[in-house]
Amino acid sequence: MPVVLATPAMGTRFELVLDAGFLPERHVYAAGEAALEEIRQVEARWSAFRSDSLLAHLQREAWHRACLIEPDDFVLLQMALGVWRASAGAFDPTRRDHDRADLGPEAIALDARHGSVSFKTRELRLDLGGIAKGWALDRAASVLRQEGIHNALLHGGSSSVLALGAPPGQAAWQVALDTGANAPVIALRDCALGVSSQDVQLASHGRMHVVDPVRGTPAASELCAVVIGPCAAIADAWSTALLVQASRPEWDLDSSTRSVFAGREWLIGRGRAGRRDWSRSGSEHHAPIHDLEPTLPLYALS
Amino acid sequence: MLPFMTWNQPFRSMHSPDRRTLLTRTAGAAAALAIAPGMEWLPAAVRPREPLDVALVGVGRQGRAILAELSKIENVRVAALCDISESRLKAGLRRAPAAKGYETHAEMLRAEPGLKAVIVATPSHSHRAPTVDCLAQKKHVFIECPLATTAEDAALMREAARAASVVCAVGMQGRSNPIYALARSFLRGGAIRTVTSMRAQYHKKTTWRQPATDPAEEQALNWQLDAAHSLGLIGEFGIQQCDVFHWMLDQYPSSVLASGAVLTYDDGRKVADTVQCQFAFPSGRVLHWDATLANSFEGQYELMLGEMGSLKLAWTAGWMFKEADAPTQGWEVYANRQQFHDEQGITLIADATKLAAQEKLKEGVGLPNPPLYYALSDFLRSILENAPVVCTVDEAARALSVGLAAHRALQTGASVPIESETK
Repeated sequence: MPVVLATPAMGTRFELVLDAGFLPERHVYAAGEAALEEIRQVEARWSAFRSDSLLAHLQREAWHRACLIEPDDFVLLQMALGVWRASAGAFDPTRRDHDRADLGPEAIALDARHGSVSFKTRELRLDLGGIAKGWALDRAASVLRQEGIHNALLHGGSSSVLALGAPPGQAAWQVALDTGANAPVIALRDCALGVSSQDVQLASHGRMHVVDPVRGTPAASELCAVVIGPCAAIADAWSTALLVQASRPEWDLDSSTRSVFAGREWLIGRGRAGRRDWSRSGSEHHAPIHDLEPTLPLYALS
Repeated sequence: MLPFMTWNQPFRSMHSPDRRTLLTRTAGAAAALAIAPGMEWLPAAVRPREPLDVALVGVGRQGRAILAELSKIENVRVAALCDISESRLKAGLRRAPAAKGYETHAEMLRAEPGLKAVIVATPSHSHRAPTVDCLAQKKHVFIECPLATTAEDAALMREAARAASVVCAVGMQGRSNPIYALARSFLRGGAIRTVTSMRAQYHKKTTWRQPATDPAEEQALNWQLDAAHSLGLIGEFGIQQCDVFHWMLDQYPSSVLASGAVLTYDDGRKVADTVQCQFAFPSGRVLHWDATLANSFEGQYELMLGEMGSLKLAWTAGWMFKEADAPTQGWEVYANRQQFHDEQGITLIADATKLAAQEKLKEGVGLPNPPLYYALSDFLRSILENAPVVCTVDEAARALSVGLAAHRALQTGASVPIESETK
């Protein structure tokens, strides 16, 4: 029987499904708890809703002095800025004011020699909501690997999923993307999946939480963007970029707009949850879509 | 003006502000900054201090949290790290790349004569040796709570602190917490009148076990679950929480009754995973403390009930609940409130006057840094600015004697008297 542990964090529920293998159960529980603690630490450091987070500290201090940050935090910021550049701004780790072009990620300065970060303007608002869940899963997976657990499925609110190895006797973890009969089931093994869509509850009240950072328009509420990546942070961030890009009118008209996703594995669902039509990237390395029963019904958009 | 709404200033060592900062402050933004009073207009001739070289002994989970908070503080340099575990030391050095690593504190003291201060974050039962040795070398010392796990160790540490005449502080974090300081000023000002009842709890769902595949390493890592070394939940959490009441009331309990058992984790442990204590104070008040590792409901808090209201403190936030017949103060129109089922709590907010004037009261809810940051800042302020030590070894020893009595009460099932004076 797998060991299942969970914790609330980042406004959702993180869950770990651990295959104990031949390890003593008490070790597996302890390792799982250490992994959950890592998730809570990522929340404590990067939450935009906690006054005592590292993020809040940087907002208060980094505009007037270079702030030292830990190497892992530095890597996260580097990764976020990397996806921002590579996605031509479709993923943006800041809350941008569209009247102020200088308030975006351009205003973040990372100093690799000293391991510090500074903001060029006081008004910059760092927001890692589009990548932090995935990052938390990556950190948790690192703890599990260190403790000898190599087969596990981790997810944060089912919109960010990370697969280590496979369940006993199977080639991969099978993850269903939707509740409908035609929903794709993705096989994941040592890779991650990020899902992005407008929050159904907020959208029903006319509030859109995903906004195109370049144009200032809300992402389409009928779309669901899925990206498969080597790690959960990357998949998480790119799924937001995909949702933004696929919401632009030129997405269907001009294939060159999709070039930013070249080599990436992605799927887009259109329509209401449970009745979506799915299209996928043409990459030959695309993860196979099986007609299999999912190992776990991770209905990403339920 | 809201006279009671004060805020402990975050620690900043003295240095001259740069031009940009100065200009911004001139423009009126100073109100939003936490600047120590009197430091805003230091003459340009004042040069930054040399960074204070600090060492950390014990780079486990708590040690890593200490490193994270130290990195926020200007003009402090982590010069050395010390841990008997090579993997922990390596992980610590990754976080503090400028530091040198040592296996033992003795080795570190020999190699680093320039160290000014040492933070001791080893397992609770092994605080004594690094503390006594560092004090003997005239290093300022900060010791994580609890001070120790035996009265003998505490006595030796007190003696060493007295002989050293340097700063020796213990991390009783409630005493440094700005929200707790605000609550204390409310209490002292009579806001809830006579305290009649007190409760505290530590609830967290966890096995409390650290993972390790090697049996010897597992035993060493899980010292908290080893009855030979650990005071259990009372030692690791109860002492810290009870001290909040000692500090708030200026009183220590005179006896304690306790019960507890291993109710959830049937893995061979002898240290109880669920504990209840009743601390009786000479005034007739009783503090009920409840801890469990089986359930996380409502987490960790301290609660004081008085004739005119209640104060609930939860480490990163605090609230005051007023009785219906309590007099209304003028400032209450500005107060931020939170609903808890049928009760409405006034959020304890630092800098409330300023924030209310800026219509930003909600932004002040919650502590700007983890409680550990304030304890470390107070320690550094004691070294650099001769500020009084917030929790002395003597005070921590007295808090430990309360914890030791509770531990004895748990083992015997009998009421145990608590010494009124420490030796």
